[in-house]
Amino acid sequence: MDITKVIYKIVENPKSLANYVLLRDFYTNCGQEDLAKSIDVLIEVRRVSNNSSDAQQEQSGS
Amino acid sequence: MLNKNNQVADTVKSISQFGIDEIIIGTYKPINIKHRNLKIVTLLESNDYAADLNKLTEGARHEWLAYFKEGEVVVQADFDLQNKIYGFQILKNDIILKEARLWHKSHNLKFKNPVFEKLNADIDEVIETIVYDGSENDPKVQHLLERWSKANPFLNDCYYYKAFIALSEKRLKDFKSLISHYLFNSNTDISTTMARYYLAMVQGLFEDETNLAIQNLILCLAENPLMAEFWCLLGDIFYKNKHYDRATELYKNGLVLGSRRLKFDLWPMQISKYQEYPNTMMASCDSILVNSRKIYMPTSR
Repeated sequence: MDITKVIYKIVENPKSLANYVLLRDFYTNCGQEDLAKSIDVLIEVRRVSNNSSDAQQEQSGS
Repeated sequence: MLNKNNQVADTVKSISQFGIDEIIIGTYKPINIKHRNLKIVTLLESNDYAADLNKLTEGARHEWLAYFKEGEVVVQADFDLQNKIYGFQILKNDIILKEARLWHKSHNLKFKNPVFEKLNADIDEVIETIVYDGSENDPKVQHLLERWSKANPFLNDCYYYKAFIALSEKRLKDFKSLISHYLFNSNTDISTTMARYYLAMVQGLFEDETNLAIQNLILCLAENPLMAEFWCLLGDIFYKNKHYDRATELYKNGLVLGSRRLKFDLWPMQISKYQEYPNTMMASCDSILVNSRKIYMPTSR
């Protein structure tokens, strides 16, 4: 996997969690555990904020 | 330290409070400063600051050596010395640089670069020593750089410094051309990655070369994804192009990943890019998006 392609995907679609998972897996496979952990933190922050914006949208739609 | 432009008094005062045994100042002009443990060495007018510093360090009596530039003030010093090359945190305006400044004589380090003198060494450890750099620009720099460049026409480092002088004078086309030459002939390290970041800044914010800027920033992030500066600049480029949603997400990445940086890593840091700036920009994006939704919201009947 080419890391620049993964980062390009993130820049193209920075909301998509799947792209961050790819980045985390890249660092895990390279043995860069600290970076993998940092991306995991970002994934978690994004998961929480995605859930809360989904909930807001549902509320405003109901 | 070298006295180039009579800015040494505050530096000496700040260093001496940390109980340093001997302060050596090489000076090109008469200097009127008195202090305990001060040794003043008169130097002939020179075109090579690194060579002058190497002479000064040869005459130092002590085992441990620290180097300061005139105009710098030590605001905090805390270290427990082992046999390592230590980096100080140099604070100038909003930016913290990490530079090798404290070492044991046995390392036999030399200064390099006749114009922008620095130790020819990699840092083993950055320590809790903060130096505020209040120096003014050296008026001789341009002249010395020209001489250095003429003497070494193919030396890549000359392109680097000429590029940043061009940038400081807002000669953006010259900057792009010089820094591109430098990058083409350099291996990737912190210095080249930061040079690429500044190239991306010029391309993305001043030259309408959005795609090139993004390509360069992707290369920067591939080197270090924890640099909030890189994410913020991507955010700025999308903000400039009115993609406020995407800009917000990129600023958010800067906030989260930037907070994961190690306190004493070797990369520079622009302090505001780690909280204040992305928060301000995200608020601005939010307000623009809210207002645009109001404009397009159909009125109820």
